[in-house]
Amino acid sequence: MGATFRESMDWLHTWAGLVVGVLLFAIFWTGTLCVFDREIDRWMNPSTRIVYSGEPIAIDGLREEATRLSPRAAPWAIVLPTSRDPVLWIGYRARTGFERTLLDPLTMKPIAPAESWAGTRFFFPFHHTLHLKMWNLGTWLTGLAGAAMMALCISGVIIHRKIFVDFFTLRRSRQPQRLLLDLHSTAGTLGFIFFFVMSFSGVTILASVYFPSGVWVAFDGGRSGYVKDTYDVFSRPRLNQPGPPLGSLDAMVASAREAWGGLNPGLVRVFHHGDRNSYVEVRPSIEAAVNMRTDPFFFDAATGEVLYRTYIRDTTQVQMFLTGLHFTQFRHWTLRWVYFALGLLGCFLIVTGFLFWVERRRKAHLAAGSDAGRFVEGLAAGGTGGMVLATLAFFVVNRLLPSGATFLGGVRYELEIWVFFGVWVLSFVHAWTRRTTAWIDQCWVAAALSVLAVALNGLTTGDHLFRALADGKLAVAGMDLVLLAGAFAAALTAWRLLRRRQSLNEPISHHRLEGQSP
Amino acid sequence: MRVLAIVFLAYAAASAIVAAGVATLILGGLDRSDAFTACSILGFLVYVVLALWAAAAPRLVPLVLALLAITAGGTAIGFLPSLMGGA
Repeated sequence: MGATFRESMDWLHTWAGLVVGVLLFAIFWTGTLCVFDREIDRWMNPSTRIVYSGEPIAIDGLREEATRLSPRAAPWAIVLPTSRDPVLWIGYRARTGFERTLLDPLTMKPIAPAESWAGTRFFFPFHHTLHLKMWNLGTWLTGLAGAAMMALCISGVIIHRKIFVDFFTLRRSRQPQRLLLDLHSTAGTLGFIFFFVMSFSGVTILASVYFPSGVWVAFDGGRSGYVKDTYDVFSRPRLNQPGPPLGSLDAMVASAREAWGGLNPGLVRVFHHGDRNSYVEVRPSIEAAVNMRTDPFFFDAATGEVLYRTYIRDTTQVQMFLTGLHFTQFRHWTLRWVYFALGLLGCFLIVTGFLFWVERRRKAHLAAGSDAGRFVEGLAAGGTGGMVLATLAFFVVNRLLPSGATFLGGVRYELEIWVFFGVWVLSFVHAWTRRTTAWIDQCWVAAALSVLAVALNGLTTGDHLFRALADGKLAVAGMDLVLLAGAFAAALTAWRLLRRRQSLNEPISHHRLEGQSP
Repeated sequence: MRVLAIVFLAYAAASAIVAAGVATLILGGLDRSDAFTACSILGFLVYVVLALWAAAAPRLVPLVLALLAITAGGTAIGFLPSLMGGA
C-alpha cells in the first residue's frame, strides 16, 4: 500500500510478484510444455511413436476385445487416434483402477503399454493441480495464482508513469537494474494480451469449483446438478435384464459424423454393457475447432437408434471457447508454436521480475547486512532454473530406466516423478549454497542434460534425429531439436555469465546477473 | 491483515456478488445454467477488481467493513429467495 494509487499498485506488484513468483513460474513452465504435451508423450513413451495421418478406422472388431477386458458393470470407452495422438485405446475399470489397453490404429494389434506419465498425465495435471490433491489445495493455489497474474498484469500497467515510453524502450544498458527493468517491461508489453487471456481463461475453466456460492444458489444437486444442466448429459438406468448384443459402433459413428458435418469422432463409450438399457455415447474430436466441443450423440446400444443429441447452450459455448483457447487442442501448428514462444516469454517475464527485485534492493540489503536479497536470489534460481533442470532430469531418467523398473515400491512412472521433485528440491539447495555462481552452474547442467536426453533417445530407441525425420516421426524429431536449441541457449548463457564475471575484476560481491532462463 | 483482506475478504465478497447475480438472473427468468456461467466468469474479474481496490484503499478498517458488508448483502440476495421458497 502507498500514499497514491500508483504507489499502492507498485507495492502490490512487487510483493505479490515475489510471493507467487515461484508458483507462477511452475504453472507457466508446465503450461508451456503442455502446448506440446502429446509430442512429449511420444518422446517419453516410444511404443506410441506411430505415424498415423487420419485414415478411417473401423472399430466394430474391437467389441469383443473390449468386453473381454471389462466384464464388469462400469462403462468402457474406445478413444480414437489423431495425428498428434496416434494411439487407439480402450479404457476400462479394472480391479486395480482405471486401465487402458493401447492399440496400433493401422493394424489393431496391441502395443506395449505407456510406462511414463509424460506430458498429458504428469505436466498437464501439474499445471492445474500441482499434484497436490489434499483438500483440492493445488487447484485453489493455481486459481489464486491465476487471479494474481491478472492483478499483476493490471498493476504492472498502472505503475508506469509514462506508459508508452516505458513500454517500448529497451536500453542496452550495462547497468543490470535498468536492463532487467527494460527486459521485464518489454516482455510484459509483448505478451500482455496473451498473459491476461491465459490467466483469465485458465481460471474460468474451473469456474464451478472456484465459485461454489453460485453453484449452491443455482443448482439443487450442487456440482453434479451443474454438470447435468450445463453439459446436457443424457443417462438412463440399468434395468438388470440381459439385452441383445451390442450393435454396430461404426454405424453409430457414421450417423454422428454425418450430423456433425463430417467431423471425426473422438470417443465412443458404452454404458451398462449387456443390459437391456445399454446405450452408447459418441463424442466429437476436439481437434477441429477452438471451441472444446462436447456435444455427444447417445444411441441405443443394440439398435443404434438415436436416443438423444446433446445441445450445448450459447453461454456455455462462450465458456468452452475460453476453455479451448486455453487448452490449445485445436489443429494449428503455427498457433501452437506461437503459444509455445509466448509461454517461454512468460517464463522470461517472471525471471526478470525476480532478478529486478534483487537488483533494486542490492545496495540497501548490502548496507543493512540483510540476507533477504540472497534468499530471494536462491529462490529465483531454484524456482525457475530448478524447474527447468527437474524437467530435463525427468526426460533423461525416462530414457535410462529399464521397462518395468521398480524401486522402493515405486513403479517406473513414479520413479520418474520422484526424480523430477528430487532434482527440483536439490536445485533450491544448490541455489542457496552456491548463490553467486548458481545460475552459471545450472545453465551448464541444463545444457548437459538436454544433450544427454537427445543422445539417450537416439541410443535407446534408435530414433535419432535423422531417422525420426526420415520416418515422419515429427514429434520426436521436433522435441530433439527443441532440446538441442535449449542446450545451445543454456550453454551460451552460462558462457556469457562466466565471461562477465571474469571481466568484472571488482572486489567482493559485485557479481552481475543476467536474466536468462534456458 | 491487508493481505488477508486482498486474498480472502475480496474473494468472499466476489463470491457473494456471484451468488447474488445468479439469484437475480434466475428470478429474472434466465436459465440456471446460463445465469451461473455468465456470473461465474464475470466473478473472476470482480475478484481482481476488488483485490486491487483492497490493495489501494488508504484505510484498512473502512475497507474491511465495506468488504464484509458486500459479502453479507450478496449472500442475503443470493440465498434468501430460496430460503423463502421462491425461485
